Amino acid sequence: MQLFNCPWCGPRAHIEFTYIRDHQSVSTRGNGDDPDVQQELDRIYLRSNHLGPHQEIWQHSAGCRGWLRITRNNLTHEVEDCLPCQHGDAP
Amino acid sequence: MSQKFRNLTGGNISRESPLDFRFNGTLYQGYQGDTLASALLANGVRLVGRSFKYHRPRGVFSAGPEEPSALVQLGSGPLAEPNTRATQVELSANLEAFSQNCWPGVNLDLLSINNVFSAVLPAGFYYKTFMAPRRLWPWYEKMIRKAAGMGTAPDQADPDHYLCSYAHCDVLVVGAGPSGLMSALAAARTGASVMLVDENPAAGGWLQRERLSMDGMPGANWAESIWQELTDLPNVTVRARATAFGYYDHNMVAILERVPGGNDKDLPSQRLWRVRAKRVVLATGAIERPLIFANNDRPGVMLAGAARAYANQYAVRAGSRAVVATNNNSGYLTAVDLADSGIAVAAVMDSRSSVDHTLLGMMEERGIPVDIGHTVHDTRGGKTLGAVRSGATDVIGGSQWMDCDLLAVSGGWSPAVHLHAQTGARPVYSTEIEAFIPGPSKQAEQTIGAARGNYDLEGCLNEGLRAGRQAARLAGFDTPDEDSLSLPETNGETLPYGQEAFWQAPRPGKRSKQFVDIQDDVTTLDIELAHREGYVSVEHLKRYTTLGMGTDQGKTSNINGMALLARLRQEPIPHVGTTTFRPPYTPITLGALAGGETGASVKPRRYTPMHAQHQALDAVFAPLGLWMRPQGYPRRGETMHQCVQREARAVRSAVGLTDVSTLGKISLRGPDAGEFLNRIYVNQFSSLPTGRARYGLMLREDGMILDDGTVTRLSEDAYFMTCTSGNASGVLQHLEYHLEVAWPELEVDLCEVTEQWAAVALAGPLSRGVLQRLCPEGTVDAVRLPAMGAVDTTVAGIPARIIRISFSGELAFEIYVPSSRGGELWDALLVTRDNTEVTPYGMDALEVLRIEKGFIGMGTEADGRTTAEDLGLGRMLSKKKWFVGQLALQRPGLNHANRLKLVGLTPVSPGDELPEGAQVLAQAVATGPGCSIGHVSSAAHSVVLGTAIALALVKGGSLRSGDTVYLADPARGANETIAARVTYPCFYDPEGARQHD
Repeated sequence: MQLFNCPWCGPRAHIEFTYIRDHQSVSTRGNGDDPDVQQELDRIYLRSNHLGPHQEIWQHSAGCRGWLRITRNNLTHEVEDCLPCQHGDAP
Repeated sequence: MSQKFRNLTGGNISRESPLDFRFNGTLYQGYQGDTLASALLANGVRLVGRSFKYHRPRGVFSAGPEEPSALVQLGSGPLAEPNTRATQVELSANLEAFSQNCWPGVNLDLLSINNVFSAVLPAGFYYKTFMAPRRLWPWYEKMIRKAAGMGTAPDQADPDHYLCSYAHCDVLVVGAGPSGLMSALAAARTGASVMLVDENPAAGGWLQRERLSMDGMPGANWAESIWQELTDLPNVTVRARATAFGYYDHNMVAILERVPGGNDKDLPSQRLWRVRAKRVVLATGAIERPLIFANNDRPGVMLAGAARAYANQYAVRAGSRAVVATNNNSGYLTAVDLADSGIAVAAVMDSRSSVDHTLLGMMEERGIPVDIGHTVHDTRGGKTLGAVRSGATDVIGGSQWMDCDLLAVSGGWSPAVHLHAQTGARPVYSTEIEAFIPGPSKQAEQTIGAARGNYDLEGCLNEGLRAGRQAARLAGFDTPDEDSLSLPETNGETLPYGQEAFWQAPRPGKRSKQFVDIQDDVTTLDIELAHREGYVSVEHLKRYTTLGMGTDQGKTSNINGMALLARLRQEPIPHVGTTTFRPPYTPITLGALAGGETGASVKPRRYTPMHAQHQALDAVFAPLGLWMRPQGYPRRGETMHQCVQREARAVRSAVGLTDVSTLGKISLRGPDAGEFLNRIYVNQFSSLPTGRARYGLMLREDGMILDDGTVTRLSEDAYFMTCTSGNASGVLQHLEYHLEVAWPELEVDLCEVTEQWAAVALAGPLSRGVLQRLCPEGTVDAVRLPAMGAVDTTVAGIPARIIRISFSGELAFEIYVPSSRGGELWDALLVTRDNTEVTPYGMDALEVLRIEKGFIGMGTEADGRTTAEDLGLGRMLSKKKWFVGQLALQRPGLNHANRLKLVGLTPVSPGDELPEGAQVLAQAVATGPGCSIGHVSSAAHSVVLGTAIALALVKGGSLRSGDTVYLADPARGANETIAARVTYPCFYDPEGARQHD
């Protein structure tokens, strides 16, 4: 069971957290911008699923409900860092 | 029967505490401190079970967790536990054990006929033979499983209870042998919190099995004293009978603790510990390997170290006349200890070409002949060993038969690297000890002692001391150089390891069975066959021959098997490698993994604030997610169908009351709340006037419907949202994600208030009259509270929010009050002052009313694959603004003419029911797979039409209006299709006049 160091709660077992999505697929676009449909679909469906470190969005859903950006190696499960989702964290 | 193989003195057993036990129905006696295996051997019971495939007689082979053959079933009925290792079962009073995998009994096993036919049962036999005809496979499988059994799983619920706990420590030490004890002691002295676990009931590991003196006392006593010292330290936790079976991510080790007296009602029978340690020290010891020769599986053939353990630890003679076969020096210590315990040792066979003269001296002293360069080639006997045939290692078949009933074999020792390897680390092959030893660590772990291939006692003590200190230091504790801790003085016979690989004796006959894996009946012939047929990878070899499978996972067989494969491949052993080590180290009871999460405790249950009221009305409850919700309120003598129809009819013709407290409720506040809702919902919300509610639809980013619900604007910057009961947590997460991650610039606070509000829907043409009498004058009249209007007021004196929303198609009011007053509200609405009968209705009636109106259901029509357009809600999609999921809707596939679209169905023949889930066909007869044009998503019996009605998703949708389609429901055994007519998906008041009244 992995251990995530929640910036608000300290180290907690991963069962307290929910994986939400890969950071690559986050869109911070709210409205108005001239959207490209293909770009939008690629963001949703065609993110890179490489071996190695990924930036992932997790929620401490059974804890403080805070939102984290975790850099985690999907091969070794090594957690490089575990940061709060900051304002304007566009991929 | 007396314990005629038990010595009168010696051993670490309590002769003053005799214990009666039964094996296969016969009463025996053993002592406190025995295992089932040692007690059986003390009573001369040597035949314990039958082998997996050939049903050959098998006995006790080891004295620990590596046991491949002495597997027994403990207890009977619901308490039965199959596949337990007799070598690890602590003897207890009235223990009952049975042989497994034999029929009718272990002495006469009719399936041993398999042994005669073994020539036609090679590796891969089942794959090759039972290929065709395919339809017979279920029958084949049943017969094969019956013949090749691993005990019988109990078919009743386990009456034992189990516990799961978490624990944390600075240093976890696994194994309380000499290395582990020193390590724990050294770490504890620094002040670090230490946990020490060992799978055995008493500390010491191999010290229990040797006759060494440490600090002037027997090794076992020394171990006991250190264990006691550790027990008394406040920063140390010790756990005996606790097997560390899995090493998981980020230094979490799973440990299964067997609780003595755990059949007591107050104690769990086992505890599962999940221990997170800063550092882990693995001192898990080593496992002896057998030698490979013909018929090396008879009861009486035993690992040399095990024979020695029975002599020293249990004072049991595992036979009367022994031969020792070895390829290393440890066999000589076995010969000495067997001879000293009163067993006649006929000879030592040593496959090496030269031997240290001190060993020869030890043997000479006891009159034991040594045959250098010799080994055992074959054995004979019936159900137990009768004689062995020995000879020079290169003489095929050997030359001389020697009578004996115990053959102690040692093919060297393999470090127990299992936990180390489970971390993802790769063990490396040491040609010095011909075994895999730990490689570079992948986690905060260090493997020491015999588990690292260090077989020297003093070396182990030293290593333990250093590793314990280092672990504490790495966990952040000061470790002064000066330490009062010193190593114990040891004396006794210790020998260098001195092993020389000897993997296989020449096979005496073409088909002689030289077992490599005794548990799975894998012989050298099977390995050769697998290699010949191209299964040259060690992982393929395992799957094809079953080498290293089963309950022991090849603890005694893997290295030998890999060495044989390496020889066949003409490559060094490291090139062949090992199979992957996976948890658990030894088998785990499933109940222990579940812990307390069984039956009703698997999930929490949620009850609405009106639950007591529903109970008083004899409601029938049904789960809705975690919620318990009334399905209906049947009256005496009423079927559920009659009840649901009566309740639905009451809403259509008079007034009904239902509990909707389970709706997800979210409060939103902030200057950007309107903008936020505009982005989340497909329709416009910022234009919603204060005091009004609006139905909304939200999409996932891929354009599919996520949820529907209503939003009420309470003031300029405050909104109140409801969402589907089953979707509440998902919707909350969706909103939180967008606010916190996607658009943190929006100033909105949101708070889930599902449990803060109790809610009911009062629906039906008479609802206004009922409600008006409980509210301030005029509050709910048609002008002050129009359809989709909202007002904060009081109902029966309770502060309440009333929203005019209808989910039934009738005039209806949703009434929200503080949770604590939900019951009060329910009672006030149900017992009216003017004798209007208010009918409570449940989920099923709600469903009938919904389907009659053609309102979509989440999970039924909105099944995650449908868009707003598919469900006839395309007009809701705002073109004036952007919203989540908007762009994805432009995908061509989502606008294809052949998409499944919402329609209504009525039966052509009015008496027919329309089965929910049925496939929709264009013809009366199914023409094969792929002929379906859709499916029935919801169905009910309409109270207004008096016939069945259904909502369906059908290709072409409304283009098929008026067509006849056919419903096929073969999965539920219906052979004939049912004809149905495609209609508009609303069966009642399509203009909505009633709810807008």
